[in-house]
Amino acid sequence: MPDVFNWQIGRNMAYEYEANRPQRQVAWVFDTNKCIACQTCTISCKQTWTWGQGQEYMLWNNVETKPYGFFPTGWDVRLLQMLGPGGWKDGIYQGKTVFESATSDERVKGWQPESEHWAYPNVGEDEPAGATDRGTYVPSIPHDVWFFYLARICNHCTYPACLAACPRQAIYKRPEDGIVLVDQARCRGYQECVTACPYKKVMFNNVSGTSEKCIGCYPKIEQGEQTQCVTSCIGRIRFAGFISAPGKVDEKNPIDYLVKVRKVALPLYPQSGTEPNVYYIPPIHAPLPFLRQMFGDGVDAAIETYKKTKDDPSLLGLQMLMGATPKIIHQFKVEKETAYGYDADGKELVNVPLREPTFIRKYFDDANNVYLHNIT
Amino acid sequence: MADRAVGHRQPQGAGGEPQKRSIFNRRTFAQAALGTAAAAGAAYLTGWSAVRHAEHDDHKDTELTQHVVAKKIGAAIPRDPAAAEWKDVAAVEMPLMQQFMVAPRLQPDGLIPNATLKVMHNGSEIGFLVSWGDLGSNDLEVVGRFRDSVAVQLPVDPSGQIGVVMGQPGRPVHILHWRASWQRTVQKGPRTVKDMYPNAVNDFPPETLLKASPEVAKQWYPALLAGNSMAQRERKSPVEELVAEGYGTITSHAEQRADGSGVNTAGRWNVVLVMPMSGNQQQPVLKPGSSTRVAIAVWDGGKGDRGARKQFAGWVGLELPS
Ligand code: SF4
Ligand code: SF4
Repeated sequence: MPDVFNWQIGRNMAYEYEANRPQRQVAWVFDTNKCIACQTCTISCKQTWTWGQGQEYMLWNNVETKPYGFFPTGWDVRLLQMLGPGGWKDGIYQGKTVFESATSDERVKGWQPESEHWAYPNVGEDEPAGATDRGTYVPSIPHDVWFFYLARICNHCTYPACLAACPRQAIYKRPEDGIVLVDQARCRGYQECVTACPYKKVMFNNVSGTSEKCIGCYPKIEQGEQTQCVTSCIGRIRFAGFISAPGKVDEKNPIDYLVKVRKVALPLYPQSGTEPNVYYIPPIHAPLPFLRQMFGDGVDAAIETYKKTKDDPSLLGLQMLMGATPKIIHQFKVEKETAYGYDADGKELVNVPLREPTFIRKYFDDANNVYLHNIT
Repeated sequence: MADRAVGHRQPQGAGGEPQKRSIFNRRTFAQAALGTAAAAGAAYLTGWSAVRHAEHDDHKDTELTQHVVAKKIGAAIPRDPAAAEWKDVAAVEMPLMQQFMVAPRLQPDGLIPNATLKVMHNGSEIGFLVSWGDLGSNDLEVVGRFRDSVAVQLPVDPSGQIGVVMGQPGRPVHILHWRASWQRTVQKGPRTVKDMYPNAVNDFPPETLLKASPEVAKQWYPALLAGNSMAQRERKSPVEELVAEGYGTITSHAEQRADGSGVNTAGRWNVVLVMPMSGNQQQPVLKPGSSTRVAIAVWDGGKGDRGARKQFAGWVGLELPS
């Protein structure tokens, strides 16, 4: 098997195909601290792509509560169990990836969900880790009783496990943007990709008899638009854009800035080895050992940096630019309390103030002789 | 654009340029195997074969030790495996081995030891009756569940040696593939989500909401739109004709002529697969009085067999008396 470099695990690894990075790699940043689990993203995706017969259970975008929420049930617990203890040393993952832990009978180590595993997308919703009592008071960060929301889509991985597992190469990665697609003309429904994807983001269509997956809203990406799940996001937690190849950094690119320069956004379970391209700003209130297991050993530093966002014009500017335009922001700048977003040609798409102006009204309105509820 | 938007696929690139095996490649064997882009296909297949066929060559037969003689009859080939005509045809026992040449391989537990094969022809059609023990009938093709299935394989060109698993580059094989799920569709009509979840409700699927524009509604069925035979709603025949030139290359034939029928009784599948003996240049031409070879494969859906996870029996000689 070819030996390829995976920057997220800091080392080379075995993969089914030679390393072949696309001209551009589509990527997302999700800020878990801002997600309210309203599921608007889930519904906008569903309404756009998966309301056909056979797709009833499919949620290409889903939002689950950690630690007890999963779609499909237990997907990440099973992944961690399969991989076994790993651990990190100086930024290098010491354990095995899904490719390295495959037996000679498989191309990828995987788990095949059954229909009941897909039947409870809301399992564990809002369930905290640990018991609470009436009057429970959580005074410090990280919280000792906690949960957080994890929004998930296909990661359009650099080394997709789904693609590696397909015995007939019906899955391919687009050279122009790195979007990973199942060729609906070639798929014969073996579900090998469903078993292989560590994130369980390929799903079998019960009526068409083929596997289907998140298509990265490629018709939108091709037109410089961000994906449906991003533009519909109520919490404004998301960016869609492009990430530079390893060793290259464009400081003006929001994704590069958050992932590579400030390192506040981290891959989900990088130990899978697929080099996933959705990057998460970890929740600041959840315990670090849990987060290290989920996002790798960059978590401590990411949280420290993120906590200072309020006094950091660039990070604050990017926070304000999230959800501020449906277009892909290729470059940004922050100048004099304003953040600017630009398209691929350098044309301004949007500008937003770093801080919304605040007005405080008197709590009693003399003219109308009434108390006011909302005084900011 | 509209069809690209929901088709989950891109238009084929300009054919012709040789491709290397790569993460970006989409295989285009449909054209390669059918001869319209033979050059591109062949170059690409070679790359693949270098990796995949190394072990494969060891399994090439040098000489066929077993032979099956087709029975010549003067009537139509019966589709029903229980038909009296099949009773007097001599059966050849074919020991089955697990597919172990290429991952994903079959686990060696609960293997089916053998299958029997009977062949009949009437000068214009040839019929194969394959029978094997499989206690449960699995005819659903849904999330995490797989169907029982059988395939009969013949070389397109009977002369010389040819790889037994899916043929090899430049040496296509012709495959008749029967699936229990297709048999179910033939008998019970188009499959629906209710086959698996009887209480499922989808109150506003695209075709209901967009009743006035069925073509638009179809865009939510990309496999159907792409002409993938997997997604075919109605089926008259439970048998598909395919062509392959090596592992992972199996491709549905543009022309579908095969027929058949399968019945599971007393813990055995008995499946008849019938096809015309005349064919165009991509299909085998089976002349009475000639001989060729035949191989079979079976899948136990209940065990999770599908695709490369299968059992197969190596080539046996096939005599076609005149
Ligand atoms: S997340 Fe899963 S489905 Fe998406 S590209 Fe990676 S391996 Fe494939
Ligand atoms: S729309 Fe945004 S805030 Fe709402 S659940 Fe989705 S990611 Fe979270």
